[in-house]
Amino acid sequence: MTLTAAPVSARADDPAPLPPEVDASFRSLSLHFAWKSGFWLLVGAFLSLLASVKLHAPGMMSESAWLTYGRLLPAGWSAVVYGFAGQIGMALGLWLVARAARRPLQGGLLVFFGCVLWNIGVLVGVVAILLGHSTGREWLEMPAGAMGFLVVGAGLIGACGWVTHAGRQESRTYPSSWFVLLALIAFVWFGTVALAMLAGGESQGVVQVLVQRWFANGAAKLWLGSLAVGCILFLLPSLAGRPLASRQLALYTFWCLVLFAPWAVAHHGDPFPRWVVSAGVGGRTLAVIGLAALALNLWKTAEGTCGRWCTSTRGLLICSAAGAYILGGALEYVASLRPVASVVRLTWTTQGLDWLWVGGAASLAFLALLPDFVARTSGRTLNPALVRWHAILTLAGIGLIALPLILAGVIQGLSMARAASTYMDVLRGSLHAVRLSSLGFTLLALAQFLLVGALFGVARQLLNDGLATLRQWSAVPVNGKRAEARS
Amino acid sequence: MRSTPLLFLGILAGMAASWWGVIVAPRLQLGGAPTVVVNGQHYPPRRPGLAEQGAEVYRAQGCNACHTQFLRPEGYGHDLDWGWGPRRTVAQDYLRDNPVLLGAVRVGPDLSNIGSRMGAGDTNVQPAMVAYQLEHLYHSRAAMPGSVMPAYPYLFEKRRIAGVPSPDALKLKAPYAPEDGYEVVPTPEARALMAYLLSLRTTISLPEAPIVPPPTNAVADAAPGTDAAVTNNATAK
Repeated sequence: MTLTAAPVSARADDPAPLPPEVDASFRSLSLHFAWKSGFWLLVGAFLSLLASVKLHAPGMMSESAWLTYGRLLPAGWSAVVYGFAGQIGMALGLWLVARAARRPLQGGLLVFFGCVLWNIGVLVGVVAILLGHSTGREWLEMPAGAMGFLVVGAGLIGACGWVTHAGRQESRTYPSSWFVLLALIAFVWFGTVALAMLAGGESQGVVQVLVQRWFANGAAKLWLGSLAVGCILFLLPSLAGRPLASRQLALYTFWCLVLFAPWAVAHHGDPFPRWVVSAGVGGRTLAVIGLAALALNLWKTAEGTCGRWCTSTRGLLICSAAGAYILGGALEYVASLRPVASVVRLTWTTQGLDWLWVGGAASLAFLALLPDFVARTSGRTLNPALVRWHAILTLAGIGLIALPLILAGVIQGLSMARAASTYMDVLRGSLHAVRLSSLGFTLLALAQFLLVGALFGVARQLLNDGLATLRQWSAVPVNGKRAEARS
Repeated sequence: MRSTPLLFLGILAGMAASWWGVIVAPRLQLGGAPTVVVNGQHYPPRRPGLAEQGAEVYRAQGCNACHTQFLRPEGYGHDLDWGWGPRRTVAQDYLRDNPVLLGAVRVGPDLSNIGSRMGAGDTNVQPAMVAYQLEHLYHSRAAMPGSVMPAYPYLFEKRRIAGVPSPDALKLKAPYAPEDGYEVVPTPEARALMAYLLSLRTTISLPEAPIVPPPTNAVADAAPGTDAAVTNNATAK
């Protein structure tokens, strides 16, 4: 399969050709986003691998404070979530919105500036965590200053997406745009409120935890999750060669996500007022309706056609992303039910579900679209062999991270329920599965060298082209034709 | 979904509703909650300065990546059966904490009541438990073979013994002991961390989370949740 064999149409139900200015408006931006997010994925995978290995060899590299498990874990996670997934997800989202609107991206310079701010924020944040300046709040570990850069950067990127959408040439919008537009507001909203309430010292006691969890849940579901759904709804019908089965079902999914998912914050047994826990359980239950609608919609769209495309690189990744989204959402709901939560809550399962969501649903969906994004916007093709091996290794890596961690949590929870012997015995029982996840981190880290290699190949193409132009320019005699050659 | 402003407002309204419901309303209910007075003392008490510094060390080292600080009630897991504390934790317990580090995963045991398990204030128990925890902190496997807790040697100072060995020096066994003529002593950060751990206690009975006294005839069996089990678990876990 080659990357350009199956064109990604603007909409699977609309074969009209896309104006070339749409892709052209991303020409330089796409490579900026791709290089930076590829770099952060490599950094994040490597830091996460180190953290995972330290669970088996706690004395390894223990002389350096910045290499302790409690710093490596959030630093790696922040690099993956903000450096890679969020960054490339927003870039792909802008591209989908522009293609669906059949309109060039508006405010490209602002997007570039937003990208720069975003990367400064991630860099400062990851380094600060490693130096011990973490806030200690899950998903918000980066210091407030670094998060501020991210929020402003996302604001600039999001504003350009909305302006591009607002000036579209037809009133009817394609469903993937709804989800992307939601995501483009979501991070700014959740980030601004969380920063204002936490950094501003507005919250006391457990209200801080509610703010942190509300942000983390919003970032996972309404930001990364929405971007993932946007990519899936865009690419899957295109690969299946038929329109999305039901616009109405997509609408249910969308509004369930907006109205119910952000409430899924508290769990049974949390030290919050009981009604807050009830609201969390209610929100989580109602959000499942949207998840079921999405599953049905995707099934009806792809039914009977999977054999044709799901073994291709893009097909494999987008199928896995859709599966991870639905499985992750369903497992999270099941894990929140009281009898199950009594066993698996506060165990390795929590980490496993996070990886299934961010690594499986979001990252795989973004990686499925990334080669096309680069190829169609910059005219440079990522090496297909590297892309294919990167996809296979990443998929295997994330599978080996998420599923063993989920299993390890179940083992840990069941051992604790037996209340036998010591906590060390409980932990020892689950460590075999955790070791398997270290293998997953190894594959994930190795895979990213392939991605960086593919992106480096594009950089080399650009450099060669630049040098060729320069040579051509310098070879032209000074007779008035140099300006012509330059043009 | 055809109108961009309507879509924008709809999304914003949906997200704002959750903000109001999940954060603003609980904040109105809990935000101004005062400390309660139990036996003439305010609960939760203010932490001493050294313990406050220890909280910073706890946060900076990312201890909350592996340790939680909240106990669920009976019927929601088995937290109390493990002897980690005498009662569930409630919002009142966290009024003085900033940041509140509940944690999300238990690679290690819960620490919400670790101070009691370390015998805080009990001169017969506390010194030995602090020495044990410092050894565990220096290299977890020195104190507990097979432990996966990271080693924190940078929170200790290895120095040449000048005259009389320091009374604070760790009593390490091979292969973790320093070479002859040297000793390992905790830095101020490690001492502060111990002070913080000793300050973590949930032994005050609250109306919303009362402490149920253990049945008197079960002490001999050290059933889970009893004082005997707490003492045993403090060393075993």
